[in-house]
Parts: sequence; C-alpha cells; structure tokens
Amino acid sequence: MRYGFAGAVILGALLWAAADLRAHHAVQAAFDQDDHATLTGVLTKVLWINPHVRWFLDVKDESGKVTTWTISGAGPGGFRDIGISGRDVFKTGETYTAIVARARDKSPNGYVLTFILPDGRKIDLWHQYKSEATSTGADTK
Amino acid sequence: MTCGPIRRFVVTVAAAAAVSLLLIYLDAAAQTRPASNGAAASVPTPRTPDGKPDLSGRWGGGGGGAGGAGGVQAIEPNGQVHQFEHYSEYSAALAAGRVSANAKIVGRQPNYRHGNNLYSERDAGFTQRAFGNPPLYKPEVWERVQYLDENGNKEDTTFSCFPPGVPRLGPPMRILQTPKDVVLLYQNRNTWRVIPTDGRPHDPVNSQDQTFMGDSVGRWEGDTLVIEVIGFNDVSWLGWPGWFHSNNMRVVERLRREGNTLHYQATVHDPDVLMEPWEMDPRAMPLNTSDAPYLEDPPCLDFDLSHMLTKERG
Repeated sequence: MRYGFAGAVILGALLWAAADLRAHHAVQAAFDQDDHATLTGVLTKVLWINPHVRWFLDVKDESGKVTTWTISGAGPGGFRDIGISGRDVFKTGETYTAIVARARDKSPNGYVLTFILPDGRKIDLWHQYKSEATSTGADTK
Repeated sequence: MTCGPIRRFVVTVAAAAAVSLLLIYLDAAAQTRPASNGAAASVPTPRTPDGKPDLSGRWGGGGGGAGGAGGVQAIEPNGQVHQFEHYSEYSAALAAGRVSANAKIVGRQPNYRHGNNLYSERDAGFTQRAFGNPPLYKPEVWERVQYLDENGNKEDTTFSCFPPGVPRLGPPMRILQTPKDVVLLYQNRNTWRVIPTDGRPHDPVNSQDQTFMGDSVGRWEGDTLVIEVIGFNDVSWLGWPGWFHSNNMRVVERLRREGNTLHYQATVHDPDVLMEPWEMDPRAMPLNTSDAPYLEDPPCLDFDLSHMLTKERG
C-alpha cells in the first residue's frame, strides 16, 4: 500500500472539513451516545429555552411508580431555523415516546434522538445513533 | 514488515496533518479577513448630518441556531425523501396527502463527521486550542490557566448561563446612532448598551461597579468609534478555554464602517494577569438588508452541569 502526496492532501482535507464544525455545548460530557433509553410517558412541560430545549416526561414503570425525566434537545435557535416552535409539535398532557441518549450519571436525564408523536409519526431531532444502520429510528437497546 | 511502508505511512499521516492544519489556518484567516470585496468598497460610507460615519444598521447574519439545521426532511418507508425548508411546509404537504403519515421526519440533519457529535466536539476543542489566539498570561497565573483549560466545560461561566460580557459578546447585530450616543443591540440574551459620545468621562459610580458589560464611553478618532470600557467583574471570560481576566481589565473597542461593511476590533488591557494587551480576532460584517423580524433570544437555564461527568467540550 502506498500513501502518496495526493492521499495526504485528501486525508488532510477530510480532517479540515471535520474541524470546520462549531459544536454547541459539552453534550458528550453529560450524555452517553452509546447508552439509549426508550421512554413513554405524558408530556407535562416544555421549556423553549437556552442553551437547550427541555421536555419533561412523566414515565410510569411496571410498579406504577412515576419518574419525571428531563429531556434535552438542540438550542431553540436550531429549531427556529427549521420552523419548529414547540407549540405545533409538542402538546402537554399527551403521550409521547422519546428515544434518548442517557445521562452519564444515570439520573433521569437524556438527550433526545427521536420523538414518536401521539399519532405515531416519528421525528428525529438528533443524529447520534451509533451507525447509519440504526439511524432509521429503530432503537437498538 | 520492513521499515519502508511504516515510514511512508508516518510521513503520509504527518503530511496529512500538516495539510489539515494549513487548511484550518487558511479557513480561519478567511473568516477573519475584512470583507472588503469590490461591491462593498464601491459603496460610499453613509454619514450623519454632523459628518460622522453612520454606523446605524443591521449587521451580519444575526442570530441562528446550532449547526445541523438544513430544513426538514420526510423520508417515506420506500426511501423517497421530501425536502422542506420549514416544518409548516411539511405539515401542509402531510395535510394535502403529498407525504404519508408513515414518513419519518428528520428535524436535524447530520453535518458532522460520520454524523457523530462526539467527534465533532473533539474536533472543535482541538481547533479552538490550536488556533484560538490565546492571551499571553503572566507566569504567576499559569496554574489557573491550566486548571481552566482542563475544566473548561464546568468552569465556563456562559455554560451556567452567565452573560458572556464584553468583549466576548463580540460585535452588535444592530446599531442606532444619535449625535450624543450610539446604541448597540445584541441578539445574545437580548442585550443592549448605550455608549455616550458627548465627551463625558466614565461614570464615577458605574465605573467602580463590577459588571459583565462594564461602563462605556465613546469618542470619534477620525472615522473610527473608539469605546473605552472599565468597571468589569472577573467572572466573564475572554474566550474558551479559560481565558480569564481580572476586574481591573480595560477594554478598547473599535467600530469602523467602510461602505456597507462594519469592522469590529477589541483590545484587552489587563496587566494584573496578562503579559501584554490581547488583541481579539477582528470581525468584519456586511450590512444586512433583511427586514426579517428581530426575535427574542430565550432565557438561559442550566440543567446539565450537575451530571456532566467528563471533560469533553466542543
């Protein structure tokens, strides 16, 4: 195998393209992109705030105990750019399913990958699935 | 295995890294280069009746979201992709039956390497450290510099929703100019500043206060508006990771209009902690003729610091 100058240029250009990104916050410090949870519960509150939008989901386990999960998403500006205001998609009192990257401390916090809306439609709001194969919305855990 | 292939591989990787660094540098240089293209330079600089350059206007691209926007997609089970600018267009198509209810909605499309935010944040952290124009700190504060560099994602006060302050706030997105003052409006946290230009000295009380924005007075040096700012706290940073300052910091900002381009530059004087004045990367912004509404920047409320376990940060 030979690695010529052209190869170096191509590899360098790829590295440059990757570095030309402006990540938002320390999402990876708080959430584990390889640890997913699927949560179904009643949406009790939506906060359209910085630095990340928050949803609050009351999730009932098999024993009937209710845990309130705090779910983060992108910043409100990111949603604004694509015309999602929150009001049109997320309605409190209705039941949603959220697939999230769990908080590293295993607290009831997560970063949303996909919401399944009350009518069954799926909406991907992040792209943190581990591979393209799972990015079609099906959770792997 | 012989040494030849290994050596060639090492040389190639080194060359690739060098090319990458060069391209990053050129990209950064391009982003900070004054936007003095022919069209902008050919436009005369507007002036107010008193002969000063008129800085009034909407500048730059305005607010916006995190990377990854790019419209809304609806992907049918058979793989057909519908592309929309806004969610409302998708909703209309759904109502009209042009998109099926089974189509998966993609609200944020990956533009990261491998669609992987982890790599993206590491890339950004590397880039900011390698090309971030850090201030030159005095040796006696190096221990703090290193601590803040290593713990930037917990210690950065903007993460806990404090204002970025001057000069980290950067240039304004809107300027209103009168003969006696200049009003600067910022999208970030819906911030405003009123800079008196009537020759008054610093306010004796405000200039001794400790605030994020400090106490500003402006003067005209030729066609440049020079703003002197003192009265800061020592909470805000100049930039990431951990470029702190003392509460004796003095900032000098310069705003200059050339045709339809606004140039912004800031110098930080802080001999308590800096070896020499720090020059912030200059910014050049085109006049924004959009009549789009000015949107509220929603308030900031942190939920994440308490369960942030690693030092990753983009």
